[in-house]
Amino acid sequence: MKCSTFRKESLGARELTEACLAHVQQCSDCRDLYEQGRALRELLALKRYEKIPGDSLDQTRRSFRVAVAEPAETPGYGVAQLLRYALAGAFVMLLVMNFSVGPELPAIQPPAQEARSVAAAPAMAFPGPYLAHSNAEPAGIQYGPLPSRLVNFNY
Amino acid sequence: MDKTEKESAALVPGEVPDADLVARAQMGDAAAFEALIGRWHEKIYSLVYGMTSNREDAQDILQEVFIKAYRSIGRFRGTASFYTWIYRIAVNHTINYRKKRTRQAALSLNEMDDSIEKDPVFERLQVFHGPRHEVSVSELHEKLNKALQTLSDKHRTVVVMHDMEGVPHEEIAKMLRCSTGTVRSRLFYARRLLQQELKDYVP
Repeated sequence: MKCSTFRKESLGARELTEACLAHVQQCSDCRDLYEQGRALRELLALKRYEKIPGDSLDQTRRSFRVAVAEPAETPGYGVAQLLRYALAGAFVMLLVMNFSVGPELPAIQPPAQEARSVAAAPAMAFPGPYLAHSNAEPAGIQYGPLPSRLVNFNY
Repeated sequence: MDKTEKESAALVPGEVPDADLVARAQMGDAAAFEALIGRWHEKIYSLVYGMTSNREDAQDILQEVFIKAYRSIGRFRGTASFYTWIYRIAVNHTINYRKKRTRQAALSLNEMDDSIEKDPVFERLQVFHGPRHEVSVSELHEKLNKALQTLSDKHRTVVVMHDMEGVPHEEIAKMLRCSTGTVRSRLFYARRLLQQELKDYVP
């Protein structure tokens, strides 16, 4: 017998089968495991010495008689439950009505082009390239808006 | 022979079988159901108390379980025994009751019978611990219940049903609507945890 088979068979067994007993005699691991399990079961079984309170049965019977004498509450149809269902129904109805019978909105159109009168820009005289005298070129002419200026990088 | 037949066979001569009492209760006979309460009260109490370790909770749950069972007895078809059916109600109701609690209830334990001191297992514990540290009944009682409360509901249920109530794996599987393999693995895991918790008491 394999250890796994033994463990499966012995787990719920009150008494071991012959095959299991033979395995226990050969395998010390399974023997220890079985002995520990048995000791634990015996320990837990001591809980049977706990006394049930003497008036427990009477109390149970009394509460049963009271419950039987009361009109049985039909589950799910109490006033609170009914109100809850009604509210949920109303909410669903509102949702449905909103989607099905709501006013149809016109299709979305792109906004019409706005007619704007733009005043004609005054014609500006083109000043032409700025010509400055410079020593950079042999001809002494530098093309650009302004002549170069020295910049103080140590500032 | 199925479980119902076995129960009927084990009845004291003259005692009405569960199935007959159930049939009468289904016709609205509250007295017949009260007879069922008397018959199963102790077993259900032990199960619920084992799961809660609190006597006040156990009593409340027990009352609710029987009232719930009476109100839904019309739906009991008799495919399983009454005992399987009411155990299932008790287990589910206890688990739900504990879930609704915002914080865990403290232990509130029943008294122990004095005859425990003569139990060979208890006597062996004294030898195991030696004369210097004798195990008192109350100490052991508290340790056992505390250890059980460290388990999750589903693991504790299996331990209580199998190791304390002696319900076989197959019956537990039917009651909890799971496979016997699941019952076995839960039992194996729960015992491993309990062994750690109770290592001072298990050789």
